[in-house]
Amino acid sequence: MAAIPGGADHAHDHDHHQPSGIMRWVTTTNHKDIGSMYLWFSFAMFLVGGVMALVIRAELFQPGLQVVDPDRFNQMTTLHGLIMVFGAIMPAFVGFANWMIPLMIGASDMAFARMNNWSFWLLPPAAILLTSSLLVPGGAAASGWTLYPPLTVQMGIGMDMAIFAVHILGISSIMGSINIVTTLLNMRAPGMTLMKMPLFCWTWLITAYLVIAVMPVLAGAVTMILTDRHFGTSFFNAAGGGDPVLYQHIFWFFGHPEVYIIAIPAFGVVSQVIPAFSRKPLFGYASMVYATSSIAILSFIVWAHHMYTVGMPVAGQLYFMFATMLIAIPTGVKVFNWVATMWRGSLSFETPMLFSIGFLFLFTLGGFSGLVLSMTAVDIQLHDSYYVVAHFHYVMVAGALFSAYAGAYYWLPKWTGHMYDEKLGKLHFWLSIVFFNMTFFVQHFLGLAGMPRRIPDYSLQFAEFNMISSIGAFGFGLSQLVFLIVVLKCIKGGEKASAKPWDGAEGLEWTVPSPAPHHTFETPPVFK
Amino acid sequence: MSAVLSQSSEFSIEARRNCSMSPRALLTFFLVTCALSMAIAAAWAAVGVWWVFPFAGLEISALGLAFIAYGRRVGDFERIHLDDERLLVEVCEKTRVSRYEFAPAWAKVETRKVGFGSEVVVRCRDRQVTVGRYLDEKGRAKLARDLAGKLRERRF
Ligand code: HEM
Ligand SMILES: [Cu+2]
Repeated sequence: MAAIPGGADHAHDHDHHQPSGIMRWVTTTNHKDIGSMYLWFSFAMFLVGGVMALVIRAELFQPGLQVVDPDRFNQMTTLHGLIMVFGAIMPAFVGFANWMIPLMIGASDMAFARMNNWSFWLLPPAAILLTSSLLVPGGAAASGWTLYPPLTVQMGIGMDMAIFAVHILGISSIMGSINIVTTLLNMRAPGMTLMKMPLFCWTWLITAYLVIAVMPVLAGAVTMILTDRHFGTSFFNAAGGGDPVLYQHIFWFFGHPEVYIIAIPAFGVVSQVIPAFSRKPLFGYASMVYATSSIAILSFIVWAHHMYTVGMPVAGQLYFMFATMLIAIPTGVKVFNWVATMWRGSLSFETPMLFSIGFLFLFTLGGFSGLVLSMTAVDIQLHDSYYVVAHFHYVMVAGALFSAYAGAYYWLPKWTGHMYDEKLGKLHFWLSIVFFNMTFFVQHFLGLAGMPRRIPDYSLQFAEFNMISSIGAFGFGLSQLVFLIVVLKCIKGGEKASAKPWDGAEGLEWTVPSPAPHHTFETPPVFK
Repeated sequence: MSAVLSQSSEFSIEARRNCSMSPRALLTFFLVTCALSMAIAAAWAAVGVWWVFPFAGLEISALGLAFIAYGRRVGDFERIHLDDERLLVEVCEKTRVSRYEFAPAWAKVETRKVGFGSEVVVRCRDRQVTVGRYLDEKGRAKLARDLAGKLRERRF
């Protein structure tokens, strides 16, 4: 289409002067392209972080030091944590948001398409900074992903690179969140009130709000480490009169909401998938919205449950203990609603549903171990033990990652226009769930028996369980390649997907053809 | 007779961009977010961690700018008015109003396919303007039909 002389119309011309090849991806402002890039980036980082996890598990296969020296080991745990949290899980859900939110609310794109391009392209430099810091003198940050001083005040340039990367990732998250909030508030199709939005949209509205609330706190915290390192301040450096425990308060004031920034969109995906394969609407939609909001609010007032052992007045311990336990109530409401949705539904068990049910079982287990940890008296024993490692992997891997897989399988037909290979999908699920539990269930026992986390060597009594865990980890890692094969196959070909390949699915995203055309909902659809 | 004809051949339509939240509600949302973010920053500053403030400030300004930038589109509209003298098309985008005047006798309405949908173009020799961007496919088809019909009536 030629540009219209003097016309006010530039809404359409981008799809005609679009650059091709790599430049198409560098300059794209299309929410679907950007969503795909987020998802590919996230999977790539998942593999990078996964390799680091396997280095850790290889070292822990048996007692003694075999594979890496302790310093490298600590760099591996640090980068693994940072990369999985900020590079793999968060971008995965931002990818879902970019792809699906406009389709779900009947908008043509995100509110700020060009800013969207920027939020994505900030990620690769941050990833390069993090990974390449392994090569600089002194190596990467080796302080754990929580970046606690005084260690962080002492380390080499790898630490500065990590701080810079965290800043960049934070900027990207904030831009993404501003975009999502603006889109969700303003661009819903006529008739779609807030309380009629698909639950996935609600969970992202709440998540974006959490991001906006806590990212400045993280930015402040790491900036203060930076000034302590280079500009002579002593916020956290005890040698200069600073307070290292203050950092822990700041970090966890960000950190606990952060775990919900990861978990809440996962709840959203599962809340789309379970009704579709139960062929029933979501049970208790409104209570789901309120429960999610309560979880978000509570997440601001429980942070010190990560710090029971640093020395806290008993009143403080009691307060944080009871506040943390409160989270179990809205979480219980959600689990109840998911189960009630399935109750007497006409269930079928395609891969997205399998991953959702896996999520439901194992996330609940992670919630229970969280309750165990919330009890101060118990946590003082278990803190910084493998029990904590088991807990957060149940919520992060079996919770967030499984939910991401559920979403990926659920929407793959919409993205590619083909059905994925159901047999391979099911294989991926069963391998994942078996190896996941093999890796992490035994870690509960290791923790209870007293094995500390973040150590490259351990006492002989822990040998068997560690061996099981390491074998499980390699199995889990390799199984994830099945997913890559499924996706590649699905892009290349396969049975043609109809506009609505899941008969129980509901929502505007299923009213557009599969694959979703480059431009959808140029004018808002009517929503009933 | 001619007076009646001219009356019945008048045609007016106004369409606005779909905005699911009123500017007022958006402002409330912004103020609440701002208050929360500033409260958090202030609480940290009170215990000596003033470094949260600049970041919270930057971020809230970014959110405010985003809402303003979006808010500038809230008033977007399209107005088409046809009477005996002229066909007037007004398009407002981001507070900038463009006006197009055509002689009814010479103006034409065309529907074109664009990607997945269609667009309606009003043209008169080499001048043209796209209309109906805030209508759905059905609404656009009806607009093109009705406007073309009215224009035909004016062609004696
Ligand atoms: C019912 C909900 C939950 C409760 C009651 C809970 C409770 C806790 C407690 C008390 C700890 C501190 C243990 C210690 O360090 O000694 C902890 C650690 C952790 N939790 Fe949770 N949690 C819950 C849900 C989640 C969710 C949904 C996620 C993430 C998606 C998560 C991720 C983590 C992480 C990453 C850590 C370890 C942080 C570290 O020390 O590196 N938790 N949890
Ligand atoms: Cu926490």
